Amino acid sequence: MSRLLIAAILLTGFAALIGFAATRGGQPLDVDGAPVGQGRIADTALASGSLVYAEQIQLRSEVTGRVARVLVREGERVTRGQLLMQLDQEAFLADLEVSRAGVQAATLEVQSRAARLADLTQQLERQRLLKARGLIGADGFTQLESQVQIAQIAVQSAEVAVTQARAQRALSEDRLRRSDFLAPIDGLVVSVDVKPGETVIAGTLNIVGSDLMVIADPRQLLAELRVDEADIARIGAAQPVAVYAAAHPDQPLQGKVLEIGRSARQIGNKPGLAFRVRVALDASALPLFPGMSCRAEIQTQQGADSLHVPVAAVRQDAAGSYVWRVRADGGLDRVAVTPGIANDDDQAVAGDLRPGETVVVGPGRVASTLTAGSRVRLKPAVAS
Amino acid sequence: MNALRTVLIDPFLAPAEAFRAVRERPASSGWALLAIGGVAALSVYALLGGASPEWIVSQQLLEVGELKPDELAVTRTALLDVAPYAVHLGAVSQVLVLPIFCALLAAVYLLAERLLGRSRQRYAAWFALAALSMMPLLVNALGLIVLSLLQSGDKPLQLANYASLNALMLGLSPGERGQGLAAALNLFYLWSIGLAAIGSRAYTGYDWGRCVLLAALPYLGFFGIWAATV
Repeated sequence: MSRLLIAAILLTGFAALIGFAATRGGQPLDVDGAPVGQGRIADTALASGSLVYAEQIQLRSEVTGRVARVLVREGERVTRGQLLMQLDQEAFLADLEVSRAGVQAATLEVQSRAARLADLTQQLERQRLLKARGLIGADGFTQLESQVQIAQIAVQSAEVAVTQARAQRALSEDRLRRSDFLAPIDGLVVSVDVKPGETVIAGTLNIVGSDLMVIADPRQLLAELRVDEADIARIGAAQPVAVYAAAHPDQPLQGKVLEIGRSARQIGNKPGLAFRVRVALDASALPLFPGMSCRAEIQTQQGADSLHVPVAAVRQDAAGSYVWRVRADGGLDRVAVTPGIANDDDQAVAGDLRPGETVVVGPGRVASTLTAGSRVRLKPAVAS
Repeated sequence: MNALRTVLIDPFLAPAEAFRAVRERPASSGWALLAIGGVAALSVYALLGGASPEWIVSQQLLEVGELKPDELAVTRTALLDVAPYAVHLGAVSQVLVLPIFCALLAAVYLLAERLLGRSRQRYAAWFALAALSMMPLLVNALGLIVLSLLQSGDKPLQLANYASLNALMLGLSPGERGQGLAAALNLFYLWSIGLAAIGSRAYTGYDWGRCVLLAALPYLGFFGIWAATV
């Protein structure tokens, strides 16, 4: 093969390669785009929490004893006064028997001492007559007077003992009564955390796991949210809230802020503080249960009708905020914008944009390196 | 003049003769390295000469892996500090890296020669072969200069890989899996491997299969390991 021919082949190949590369003008960057929208943007605060019933009563034991019977199950409807659970009553009945016997004994003691007093009083009257006739001396009479006084005091003491015994009997009756657990309201048994044979301890209020049962009124469901202290100043009563239960993440429950806690609490081991905010939820056909975790968007502000773009589209540098608008030829325009209110997804903007135009929203790595000279290609999912 | 023609023209038009000549006079391959390094340095100036530091940094960041926002800010700041000198550094590195690359290639060729047969060439001869086999990179750099002159304004850094597998066929974006490897696999490397195979046959007299294997071995090793990690 002659050198001339080789040179011609090489030059032709080189020219073809350069021509191809020059025509393509560099590989355009693949980016995600999103259309400019128009509408009202609501400023929101995000929070998480769980669902609870508005009226929910934790049953705890006021007496110590062994559980004899549990008469209801979780999810069962109960009426006010219905027997829910019973402790073993043997000890309580015995206690009551002792108390009753104590009352009887004290009553008999009163009667005994009263009889003794009456006897001494009669003796004193007879001694008084004899003394008036001068038949007995003053010493014996005075001694008998003292005995009568002591007998009167003994009667009074016995009467106090009767009162004490009756109080003890009332306490025993109360303990016996408290060994029966009755439904405090018409409602639903939300949880039953006790089984027959277990021993319940009195006085365990506010200790985790000390609830025996939870009875709730299921007619009103609330979302109990933990709102970060940085957001609490924006939260006000009656603000609309969209609540997303974990079991129904795509179906928002509408509600309104009902109560705003006034003391910050630490949540778990996290360093930040949060406030408790309760949200009254509108009636819903979704199956919802207390304890379900949820997230919520609290609408703190409603903006005016304006252009909006995804939050990721708005970029910032020393010259201010801007977005990259994608032209039909794949070129980019840097459009300065003034950001307005924003929610989790969108940002209201004012600037030289029109609804329907496409702006670059990502990927972040590529978007951060774009310049007015860049050429881009919208990824198919977005382009379609 | 003949020596210059042997190392600058013959590798393209009569490669076997060129390799036989440099085996006898390995030092003449230095002219090839100088020419490749010089044109490659010029191509860096052509590509990035008029670019602003911000543009250079944005193009460099495209080649960096995925970073968190705070890491991105730190990296951007660090790159901006170096950006005014980036063009000069790039040009100098083109000149300096080339002999190192050739030295590594020569070492692999020397080892492969002993593994594949009875031929025993000197290291200097293999270095000269490696240097001459790099001559397609001179064409690559010339092409980059032409492309840079054809484009106005800031040029994307990816233009330097205009003859890569990615630019010619795949079209992967920065950040996509395998984009870095596809951008590094260059058409001119195939040409270099072809030249090295011709040269090794001229040196050793081995059959074509062993010569192609010997020539491709360093590239297979390098890109093979890279491909395994993608």
